[in-house]
Amino acid sequence: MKYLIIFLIIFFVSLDLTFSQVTTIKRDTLYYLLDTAKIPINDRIIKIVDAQVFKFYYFRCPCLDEGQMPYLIHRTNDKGEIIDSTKINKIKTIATVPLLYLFHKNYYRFNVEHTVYLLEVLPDKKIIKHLVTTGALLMKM
Amino acid sequence: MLLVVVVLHITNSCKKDKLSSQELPTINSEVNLSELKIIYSKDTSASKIGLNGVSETHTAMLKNRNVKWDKMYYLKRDSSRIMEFDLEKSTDVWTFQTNPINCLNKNSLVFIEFNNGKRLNFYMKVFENLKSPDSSSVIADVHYNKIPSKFNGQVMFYTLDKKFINGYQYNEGKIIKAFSPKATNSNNDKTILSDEGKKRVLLNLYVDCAEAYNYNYQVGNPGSGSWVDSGYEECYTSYGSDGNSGGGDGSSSGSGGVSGDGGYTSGPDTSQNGQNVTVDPSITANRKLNCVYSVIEKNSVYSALTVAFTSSNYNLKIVAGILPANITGKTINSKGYNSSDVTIMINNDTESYSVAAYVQAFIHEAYHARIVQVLIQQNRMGAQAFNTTYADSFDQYLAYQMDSTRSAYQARGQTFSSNDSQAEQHNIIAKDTEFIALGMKEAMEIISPSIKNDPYVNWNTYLNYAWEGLQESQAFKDKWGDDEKTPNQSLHESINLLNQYTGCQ
Repeated sequence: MKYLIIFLIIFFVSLDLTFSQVTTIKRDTLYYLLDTAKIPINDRIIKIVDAQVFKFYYFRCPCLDEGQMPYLIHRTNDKGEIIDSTKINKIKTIATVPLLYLFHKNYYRFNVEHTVYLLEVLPDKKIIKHLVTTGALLMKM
Repeated sequence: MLLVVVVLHITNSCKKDKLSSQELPTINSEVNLSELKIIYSKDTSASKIGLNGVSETHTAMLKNRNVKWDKMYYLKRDSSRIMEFDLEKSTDVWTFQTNPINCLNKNSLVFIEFNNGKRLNFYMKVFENLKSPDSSSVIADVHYNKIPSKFNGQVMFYTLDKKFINGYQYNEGKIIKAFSPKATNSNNDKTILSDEGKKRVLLNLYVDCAEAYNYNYQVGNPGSGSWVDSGYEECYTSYGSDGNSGGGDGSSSGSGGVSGDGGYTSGPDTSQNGQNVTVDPSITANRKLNCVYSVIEKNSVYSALTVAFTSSNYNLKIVAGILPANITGKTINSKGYNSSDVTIMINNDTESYSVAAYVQAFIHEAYHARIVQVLIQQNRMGAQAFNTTYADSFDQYLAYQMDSTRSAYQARGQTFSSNDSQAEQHNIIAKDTEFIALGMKEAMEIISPSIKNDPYVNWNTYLNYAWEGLQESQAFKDKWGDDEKTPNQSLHESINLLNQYTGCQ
């Protein structure tokens, strides 16, 4: 009986691990710090557009197919989460160039493989955290 | 006593008249309903008319062919008797030459049994044009050989494999025009009116003139409720107005009958090849693609587009495969120009693309295949036609349509000015993107029903999305600006908005 119980425990644990391997997509979590206040508007690589449904963060880099620009989005009604600015240094953020490299590598699967948080420094120095995704490009047919 | 006899005689006479033409709640003893059901089942079987019984020469206007057997219109004549049943209501509403909001449809199945044992079985489609949406309708009283004096509209007849036989246009119950099928290679408009609850959208698709009726129509915007006049005049020539189509049945009513009634006794020709659109296991074995396709294959726009591939000359295969990451779908001529076998390949990386992207890809590729087929038929493209990009073929297609429109102007002795050209081009583009948008909307609301409640998703959202894939075309540049790299928020908003909807996971 004792051995049977041990066997069953091992069996179910291994079963769970097997399923975990099948179903879990490895996703990297990235934090990207956006502090536009320090950069003159014409020198900024990111253009922010507040539209009706989404807030767009366009990277001024025609580095994707057909010269399209990568961009991140979140819903405008997503108010985000204010985070303590003193903790910002403890968060490991990704720089712009490596992020663009990841975009360039496979923009279409980016949302499958990555979770991205945008840490935007507001004019009042508050930092707001948003879960963002890459925006859709125009597909060829 | 004499008075009683006279009253009885009059009553009896009225009863006789009534018996000769009446609606019965069930079936009377003179009619063998089981026999009619067997005849109908046999004449509409897949082996007779193919999978769905549609092709280039088969109408798309009879989608729901389920018969309401519980109620019959019965008419006894000297040499024959008529048994008529309504078909179940279809979600599509079609219209000719009238504001769509004033149009009603009714589809019926008619059996004519002649005294010599011959039969003529066919569909009757009624289009009622009301003077205003509030006008009273008489469509329920329109029956074969019985047209109410207040009826305005058209009555068309189709074989049980959905081929057009003939038809009539009525004004106040009187025939003013007869329609006949005309074989022609010229292109034609077919209007499609989708009933979105109380909001109706009328759109247009080029098809061959086999159905031979087309007219001005209006394009509606459900968001604004406004209607815009549009139309293609070159197809007016497709009308037969000489009445030599068979037409009347020789009865004194003059109400117009199906060609063959009263002389023509052979049954419908069911020798046409059936549908030849095949779906590869690479689609059906993929959960997401199979789910999307199961909705798409019933989509009114997709069905209308693929009708062109159901004749014996063209075969369409739908497959999933590996495509470059920036391509969700591609249309290719799989065996070369002469074979005319066309393949639509859909990107199989289903993790990377949204349901909306796949919906759009299926409809776009069907549209791509269709317009290139038209160009080949019109000798506007060579063997490379199916290997061109969608944008290339769209521009070619646009040029072809513009030439047709110019010819129509010239035929009327009118000058085709640059302003006319611009306006016509705008109409053509708007019409075609609206057509794709309609298909997308219909599919997305089935796959993700909550999308109907999204305050940000409106008709323009779908219209914008329909432009995807056209970014290299001149038409796109005219619409969205010359620099495709310039972010365009309304376009990006629409695409991202619809992409966020899930379903078919």
